[in-house]
Amino acid sequence: MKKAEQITCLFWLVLAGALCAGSIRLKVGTPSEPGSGFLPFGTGFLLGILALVHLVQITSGKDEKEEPLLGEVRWKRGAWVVASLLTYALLLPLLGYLLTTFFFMAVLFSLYDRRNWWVAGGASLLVIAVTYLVFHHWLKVQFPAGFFRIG
Amino acid sequence: MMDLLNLILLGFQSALQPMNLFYCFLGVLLGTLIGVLPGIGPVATISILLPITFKIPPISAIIMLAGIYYGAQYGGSTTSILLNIPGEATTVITCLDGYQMAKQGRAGPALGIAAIGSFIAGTVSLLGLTFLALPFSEVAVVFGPPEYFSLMILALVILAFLAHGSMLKAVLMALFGLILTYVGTDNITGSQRFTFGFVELSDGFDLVPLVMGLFGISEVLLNVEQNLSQDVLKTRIKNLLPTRQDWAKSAWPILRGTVLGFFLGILPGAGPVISSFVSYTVEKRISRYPEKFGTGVIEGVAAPESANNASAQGAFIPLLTLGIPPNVTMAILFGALMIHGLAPGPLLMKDHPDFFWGVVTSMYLGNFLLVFLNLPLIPLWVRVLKVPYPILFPLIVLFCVVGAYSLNNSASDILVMTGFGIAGYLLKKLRYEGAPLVMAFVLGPMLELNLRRSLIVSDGSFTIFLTRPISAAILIFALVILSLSFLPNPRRKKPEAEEII
Repeated sequence: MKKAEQITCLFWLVLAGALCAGSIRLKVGTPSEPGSGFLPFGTGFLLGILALVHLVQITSGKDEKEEPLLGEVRWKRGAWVVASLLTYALLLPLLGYLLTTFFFMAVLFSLYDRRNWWVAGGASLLVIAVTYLVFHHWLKVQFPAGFFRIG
Repeated sequence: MMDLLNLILLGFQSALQPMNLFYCFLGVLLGTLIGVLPGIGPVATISILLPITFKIPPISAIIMLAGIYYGAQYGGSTTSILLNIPGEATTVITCLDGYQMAKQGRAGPALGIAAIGSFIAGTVSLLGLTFLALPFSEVAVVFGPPEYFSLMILALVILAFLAHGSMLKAVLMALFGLILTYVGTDNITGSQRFTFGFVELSDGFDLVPLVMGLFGISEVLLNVEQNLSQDVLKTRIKNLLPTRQDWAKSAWPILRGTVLGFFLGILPGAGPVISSFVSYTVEKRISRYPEKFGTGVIEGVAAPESANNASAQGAFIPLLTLGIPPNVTMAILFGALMIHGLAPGPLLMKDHPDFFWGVVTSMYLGNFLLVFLNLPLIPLWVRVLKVPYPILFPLIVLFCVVGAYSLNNSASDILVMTGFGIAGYLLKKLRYEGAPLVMAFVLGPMLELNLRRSLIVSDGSFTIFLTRPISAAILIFALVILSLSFLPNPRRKKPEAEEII
């Protein structure tokens, strides 16, 4: 945990540096004529100082318990959710709402129990039917039809 | 007085329109539902449903979203009492005595007093909102850029001060929220900032994918890591109406909880969570038998449940009259109002009286609906609790996805939401809170605008914030709070939910 906290502080420091540099390029201005970079520069400066204080606190403090960030958790399930979301965002314009959502929901429904694909498929069909009716017909959300023009 | 009465009647006329009544019912129903279900709260739900509300009139949308917020305060107590799992952070403290009461076969009176106390507190708080809204907005009219800037600084300071974990981390998150607001077009000069040539970034980040990712997706990512067990206590829920003895014990705690909750709700940065903790502590301290708290005393349910409802409704005062959201849910409602073309603040009541009073009076109706939803339908909510998470979470994710997509009909918003979901997950793992980030993200553009305007007016002198009396008083108050955090006081340490349960 200590290492992860230190890395986070370094991230804040890099962000603060980048923000200050970007603000100078944007023109910081003066208090009477503040430029676009005025507040971003102040924020970056403050972020840098506080990140430094935090880094010193963490480094000099005692680490109560060395617990890894992802420890013994079932992080693979989370990774599946993230991968499914990213794939969904990429495939949605290509395959359309109905087809993409069917596969997306089937993957998510079978995340806890991979054996029951039929149930997951059935549940996905039901969800698509209901959501398509509610969002597309009732709330007039425009879903992409994709290459196959389904939906 | 007659003016106020006319305005209230105007409000009821608007709130009682069949469409608005329907959305009020839908809001409190959804609020109760998500309050009952652990793993999804009002922040995530409001964020998820926000894009869908673009298709309905602004008043109906805000009535529904507000209903979700205060409805969740009612619903959260059911899981705390029957499962010892708080449905919401605001009902964490209810677990202590509520669950013990349920174990002793008194789940009925515990659920009953929670609902009745919530109703009384919510209604009293609404009366406060009704009578204080006008004076508050009249005061707010004289606010200029320095006063608004100071008020926003106060809100962020209190939020950081009351953060559950490290104050330093809360400030870092608030700064990160501010940084996110700098992306896009500069409101004053019109130049592009930190867009790196991406046209998609020229309007900056949208609030909806940000909060959906931070609160919706990240919660799912955290929850799927573990197998959530939902063992509902096998007890017969009978005698929902408290006995005369229960009433005698609960009347004063309900009243004290209401007053405390209302004023803490108005305070920027505080909110229902703090109110419920403070009211429980007060009751325990003044009780003749403090040692019995935690063993199933009804005061331990009545006070915090009243406080969190009073606070939830009191929080509408700064949002609607000053245009300052006092907590993260209100910050999202602030965003919702802006998206619907309504600027929260002192002019809202003057320019859109039917909207303002329609929303306020709808909350009276919502409170009535909630009592009827909560008491007779408790067996139904208990069944809802048994919906397994493997079925629930794909639906939450799908709602997030559809919500993010429908914002601009663009799949890139799903990617942005996923990005914030991953960031939210990692930040929660590292014990950073999302609330200061969202508050700063919402307040950021106004904060910058008011700072720059103040400096232009004062010809670059920062003393403008100290020479104007209201601004100076607000900043001194913020400074006092800030200095309190440096005092070594072991009693200031706020208990974590796990420590309490």
